[in-house]
Amino acid sequence: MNHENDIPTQAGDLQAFFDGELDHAGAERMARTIDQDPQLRQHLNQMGVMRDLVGRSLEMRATQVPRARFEQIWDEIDRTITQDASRPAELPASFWQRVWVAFRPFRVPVMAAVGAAAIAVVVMQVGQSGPVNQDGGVASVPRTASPLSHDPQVAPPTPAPSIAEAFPSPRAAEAEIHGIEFGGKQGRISQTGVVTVLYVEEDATPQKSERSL
Amino acid sequence: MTRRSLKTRLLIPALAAVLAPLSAFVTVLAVPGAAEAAVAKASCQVNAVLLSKDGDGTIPSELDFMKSTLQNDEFAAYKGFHLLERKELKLALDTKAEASFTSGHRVGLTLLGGDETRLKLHADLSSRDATKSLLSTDYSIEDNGLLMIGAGAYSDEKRSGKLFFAIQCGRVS
Repeated sequence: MNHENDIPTQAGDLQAFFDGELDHAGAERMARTIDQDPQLRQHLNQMGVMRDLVGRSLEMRATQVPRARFEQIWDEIDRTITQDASRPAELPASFWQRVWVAFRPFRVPVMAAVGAAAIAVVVMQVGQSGPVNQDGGVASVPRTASPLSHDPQVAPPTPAPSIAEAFPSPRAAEAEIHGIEFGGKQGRISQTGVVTVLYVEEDATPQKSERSL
Repeated sequence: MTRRSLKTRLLIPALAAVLAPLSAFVTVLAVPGAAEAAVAKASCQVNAVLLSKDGDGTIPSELDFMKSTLQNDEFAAYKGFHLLERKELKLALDTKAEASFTSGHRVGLTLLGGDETRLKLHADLSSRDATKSLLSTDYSIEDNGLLMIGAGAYSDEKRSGKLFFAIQCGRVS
């Protein structure tokens, strides 16, 4: 048996045997081979010596590190852990979540503004009725767009008593005419300073006028 | 525990104090009709009054509320005052209400808005056969102010004279 040639081929197996990485059958087979081969036994012993030397060398280096250095390292670790704990959570992955986080300082004022706007809308809606008069005693229809146009679709007249109680006496004041259109024979405006009278006469060609007083 | 900086703690209430009234103001301006929402309803009376040159100048009690108007120089030529009809109309904003009279005329009223003291209204008067419009006008007047519309000569079985429509409107809160 030529051991000079066998050692290189068995070197891998010997290393695996040394490290305990061979299976049971392989380990038994390698053990028998080592028993029969003094050179392999020598190699195995040398590997053991080498491992001991490396281990002792590392232990010696570890003992050379001063105790203060270990405490310094542990302090560093403690600080890192503390910083990680006090650091705010990482930004959410979602775009809208990141926007929400960035928006966080402005939530209170913006919510207050939205609330005020909502209250304003509600107040206006309460103070303003719908476009159709729903009072049962009143006949009314939605008004057309043009203020001067005559609406042909008008609900029946109000079923009010013929002579109702009069309103309080009006103050002596003129009306301000913003626009007027006469459709009869003639029309004119009379203002005396205390009352405004619009005179119309039926028949004849319609005449149109616009004036603002 | 995180602590807000002094700057942030001052910024939040400052922004709230500015944004809240500002947004309410902008909302009021932005909502259509909000500026005139102060007047949303009105109640009106339309009096059909016949003025004649026959009479003793006595103003009947039912026309007492417009006595000062009827005694104005504008109506100095008339000595007889007769209330023919009185119709009430309740107006909602931008909603037309109309009353028909035995004379055949139709009076339509629309509340257009108003401010603290005045109402803005639209009035129209039809011909007696209600086939055409004799008058269509936009006007503003004091609360409970009186607008007179002279509709020309009129006569019934008892009397004759000039027919006037006295329109008086007041806001309803």
